[in-house]
Amino acid sequence: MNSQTEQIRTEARRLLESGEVSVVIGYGPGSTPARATPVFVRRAEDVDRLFWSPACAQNLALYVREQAGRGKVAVVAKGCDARSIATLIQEKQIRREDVHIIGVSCSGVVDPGRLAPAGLDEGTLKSLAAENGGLKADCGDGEVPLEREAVLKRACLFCDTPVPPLSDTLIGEAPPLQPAADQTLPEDLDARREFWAEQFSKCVRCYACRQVCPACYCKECFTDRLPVGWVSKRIAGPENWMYHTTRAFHLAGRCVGCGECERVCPAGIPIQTLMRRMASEVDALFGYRAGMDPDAEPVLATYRDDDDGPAE
Amino acid sequence: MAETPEVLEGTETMNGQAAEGTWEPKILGILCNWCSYAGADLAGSARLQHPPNVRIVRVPCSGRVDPQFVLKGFMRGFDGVLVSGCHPGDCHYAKGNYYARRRLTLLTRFLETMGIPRERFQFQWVSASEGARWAESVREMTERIRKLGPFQGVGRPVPLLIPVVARQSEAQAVGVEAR
Repeated sequence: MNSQTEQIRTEARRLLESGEVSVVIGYGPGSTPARATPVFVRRAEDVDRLFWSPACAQNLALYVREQAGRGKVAVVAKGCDARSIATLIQEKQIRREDVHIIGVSCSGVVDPGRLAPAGLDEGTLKSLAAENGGLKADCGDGEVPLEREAVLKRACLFCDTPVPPLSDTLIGEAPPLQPAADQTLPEDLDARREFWAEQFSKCVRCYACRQVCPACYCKECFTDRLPVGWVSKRIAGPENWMYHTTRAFHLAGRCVGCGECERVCPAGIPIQTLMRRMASEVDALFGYRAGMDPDAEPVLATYRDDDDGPAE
Repeated sequence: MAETPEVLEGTETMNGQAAEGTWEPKILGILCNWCSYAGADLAGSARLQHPPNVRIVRVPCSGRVDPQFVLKGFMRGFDGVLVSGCHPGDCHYAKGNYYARRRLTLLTRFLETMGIPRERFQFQWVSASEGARWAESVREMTERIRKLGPFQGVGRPVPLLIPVVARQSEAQAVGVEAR
């Protein structure tokens, strides 16, 4: 058992025994060591169901919002997850006093879908562990180091907030890692248009990206409107383009880059390349980064007299 | 039923499908009711010559312009999109254009991420008294788009022409009155 697991359990036990929270939302072991599953712990004697490993990929902020109005909850949150929670507080979906954030410093989580392409057999995987920013796996013949670039959730390679900026309990220290630069998007505009046309042509409109996103909480999504709304249900180039660009715009200044949309995408569309660009444009224009300050005004819900814009 | 059926007269020739040599830029203009629409009206009543390439949609305020309107314009194959509202400080609703400015400035940059050159999208201020300014901006934008050529469209080409008859029965099936 790693020290993070131990500390999460200790904290969860304290919170449940004191009655401070009614439920601790965290991660439990999944079907293989490369997979974790969200668990809801309501009794102190059940805290051993909680664990921490580089398999804890899900963004649990999703469930925090679903629990809103049912009393105080505790949640295990990585840097990205904590930023999602801050965004939800900013948007008044949850109240700060209703959530206890057990922040965990994170050096990146594994995307199980990338194991096989990296030559790792998930079926024989015995253990997966993080150490000093590196990864180790045991497939039956001893621990071998893993290449982060090959197996991590892609968004983690570009992560610049490994330590939760918002937390009530903080576990672990900042890993010695530098964020990479995303080189996916071509420089030439025509090539870019072609690039996205090709990527979006793969989309089957399963909406997994939307369902897994803590920021996509509209009761009625623009894409679900009937009879004919903003974008028809036809799976075709322009409609898919419309769905993804609109979603990107709806998440402008709100997406924290946790990369769950990209991880769950069955078609392998680099959705985060789009989101990261949007986030960097928002930062360049308004000096704002999503979910860094729960008290900040959401960036597109406000304005300044001296914003950039057309000349007089 | 408030929704319009997906039948848009005249879109069949978009997406660069017009015959060789007959192409004219099609520009979607989204204008605020209080300033730019009145400005465009003034340009007309003052008989100021300017190209007929802008199709105008009137909205109550530039703050009403959802970036989705612009995206949909490009999706439907317009060669350019022009959004025009009141000057900062002049908004009929006091601050709608300030919100619009944030969103649409961001949109300009976002379009480049999608591979749409920023020259195809224009966001400007025209007041009700600036008929000449409106005419000039339309001339200028039309010429710019003409130089850029037809917009190549978004997404992989798909047959845009679903027979209108089929579309009408489809529209009736979902309870929309076909035009």
